Formats: sequence, C-alpha cells, structure tokens
Amino acid sequence: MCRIVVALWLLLAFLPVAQAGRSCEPRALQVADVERGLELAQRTVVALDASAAHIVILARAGQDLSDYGLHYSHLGFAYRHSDGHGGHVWRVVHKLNRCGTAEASIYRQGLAEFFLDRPWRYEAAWVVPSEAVQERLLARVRDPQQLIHLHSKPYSIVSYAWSQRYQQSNQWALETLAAALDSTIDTRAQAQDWLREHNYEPSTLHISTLERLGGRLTAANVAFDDHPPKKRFSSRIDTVTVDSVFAWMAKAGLAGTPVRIAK
Amino acid sequence: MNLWIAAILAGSVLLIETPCAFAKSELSSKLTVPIASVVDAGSTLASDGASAAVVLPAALSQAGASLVVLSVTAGAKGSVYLLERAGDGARVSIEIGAEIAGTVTLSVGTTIETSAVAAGTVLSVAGEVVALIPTEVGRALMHHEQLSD
Repeated sequence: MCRIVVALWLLLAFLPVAQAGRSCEPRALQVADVERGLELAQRTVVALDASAAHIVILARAGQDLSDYGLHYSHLGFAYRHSDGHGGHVWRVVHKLNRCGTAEASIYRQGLAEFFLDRPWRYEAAWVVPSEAVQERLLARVRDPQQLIHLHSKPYSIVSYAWSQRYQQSNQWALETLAAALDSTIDTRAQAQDWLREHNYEPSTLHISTLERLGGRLTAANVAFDDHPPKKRFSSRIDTVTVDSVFAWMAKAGLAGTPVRIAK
Repeated sequence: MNLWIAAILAGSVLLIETPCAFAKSELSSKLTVPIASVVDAGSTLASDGASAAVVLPAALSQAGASLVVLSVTAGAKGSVYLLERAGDGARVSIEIGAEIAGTVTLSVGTTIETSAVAAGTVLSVAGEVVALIPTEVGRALMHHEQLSD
C-alpha cells in the first residue's frame, strides 16, 4: 500500500543519473527494536556456531517486498572471524547505501548491527555453501583488497543485473562470489559474463503504472537509466535479489537450501 | 531547457511508480547503536557521601531504573556523562564514544531509562535508544567498520 511516485519515465529518459540530495526520514530506534534485533543476532550466532560452516550467505528481511514475490531484501557474507584470543566471532561483510545518497560502501559489521536496522521482519536466513565454495569465498573475504576489488561506488537499489553503471548490495555480493569461484575474473563485466554462463537469472520486478498521484518524484538511490529501454518502458526491472541468489546457488549445487530463523 | 519542459509535461501523463521499499536505503548510519562503557563505577552516593549506597553499574542493569544526567564532559573517546539514579542518589560515569543514536541530545537534567536485555543494558530517553552497555555476549555481536570509500 505504501507507494510513492518515483519517476516520470520520460523525465528519467533524459536523466543520466539518479537525483541526489534526498534524505532518509529520521527514525529513532526504540528499546523493543534493539531488544528484538539483538535477540535475533544472538540466536543466529548460536545456530551458526552449531553448524560446521565457516562462511554462509546471510540474508535479512529488511523491507517488505512481498508485492514482488520476494521474501528477503539484503544479503552479505557472514563468516568466522578471529577474536584475537584463540576464539572467533561472527562478522558480516556487506554493501550499504548511505542514506540520501547514490553511493555505497563495503562494511564489516557484527550480527547485531546487521539485524538492528528495524527490519520488516525479524528473520534471518542463510545458505551454507559447499566446502569447496566456502574455501574459495573465505579466502576472498579475508583479503581486504580482494574483497572490495569488484565494489563500485555508484549505487541504485534496482540496478540492472547486467550493467556496470550502478551496483546494488546484492549485486556486489554475487559478483564477488563469482570472482571467488573463478580466479580469472578481474572486472565486473567478466563476473557478469560468468554468472550468465552459469545460468544465474535475476529477478524480474514488474513495476506497475501509477496508482495514485503524489509523493516524491525520485530518490537519490533509485535510478532506472542503466536498464535497457525496452525493458524499462515495459516496466520489467531485472535486478539481483536474495531470493534469486539463493535459488540459483541451490540449483547450481553451490549451496544447500536456506536455513531460517524467525522470531 | 525546452527539452526539460517537454519531458516534464509528457511525464505528467506517463508515470512509473515504485514502492517505498525500493526507495529505502539499506543503511542509516544513525541507526548504529553507540556502545557506552562504564568509566567510573565507583558508585555512590548521595551528596552527603554517607552510607554505602548502591553500587553501580549493577544498578544500571536494573530494569526500569531512571538516571539523571548531572554533568557532561569530554572524555578520551567521546563524551563522559555523570549519571545519578533517582531515589537513592547512586552515581555512575559512562562514556559514549560515538554519536548518540536517534535524535536525542543528552544534556544536564535529561532523564535516562535503563532496560536489561540479554546482550547488555539499553539506555533510552523517552523510549528512544541512545546507547547500549554490552555484556561480553553483546560485545561479540557488535562491530562496525568501513572497508571501502
């Protein structure tokens, strides 16, 4: 029900990049938010500790994408990280868009921060890669330079899966996974070629026509000009989603089926 | 200029929408809960310095405790807040190293509520979280580090 006008399509056709300057609405964390986020983080750590996994693809349901048939909104790589005292903690590396901007960066966070962003649902899901995939991915994640090698700062939350103009967070993770699995990959274009060759299929979001007038014209972190005009003007937006990554990894034999924790 | 006007006029008829969800950022740095640490748990006391009063920070973990900010000073890692518990005058100093979460400003006279959770003690003002004093478990769950520009 929560719909806003994002763009006039003809206007977008003339815009080279997303408009900047939109700010996020200030939102205060309430005590219950922190309590629920921390609890989910702790339960997730307990479950991950009990598994044999060293690295997993971890997702959260940060936004309600049910209108698009999607369950999860965002993923990162969660892995065992040395605590400096002979033990380990779980850390997540993921890409985040700074509020009100069309740029994003790579962060390493604790699971608390990962789940404290007032998600749509307090739910965690992950897939455990095969041992061979874990080994390669872990090596990539633990090398700071390799980890950010395919990161591209310009950001659109609905970036086209087969373009290099923007890069949304799940797209960075998927391209980084591809590079981990094929050491000859050095560019985003090569990673995308590899993903096509290995039958990855992005989700197609059907962005419907206007239901009501009003709202914002555009947001800093939304752009459509990287999508082929034919698809854009027929309201088909192909982008990398958690659900499509999970489905592809299972189908390709790269990981098992998702493990889920919900409150 | 004419191009812009034409685009706007044409676009006023043909519109594309997207749900709020896709306009929402995956990060608001303001939502990272700052970690607070106790810099002087040396307790006490009512202003007369008498009786042994309640030792903080144990009092901090008491659900629903109310603490009033007595002073704010600069610390090595951030701001140091001297807090006094309403009722018995027990005091504690805490340091918050990062920007306060949300929209709250802590100043002299502000009342802070405490809530105990498994991972630590949540400090809030009028229901809005300002910081967390983590337990060991909580500390293991928390980390924030930017790896790229």
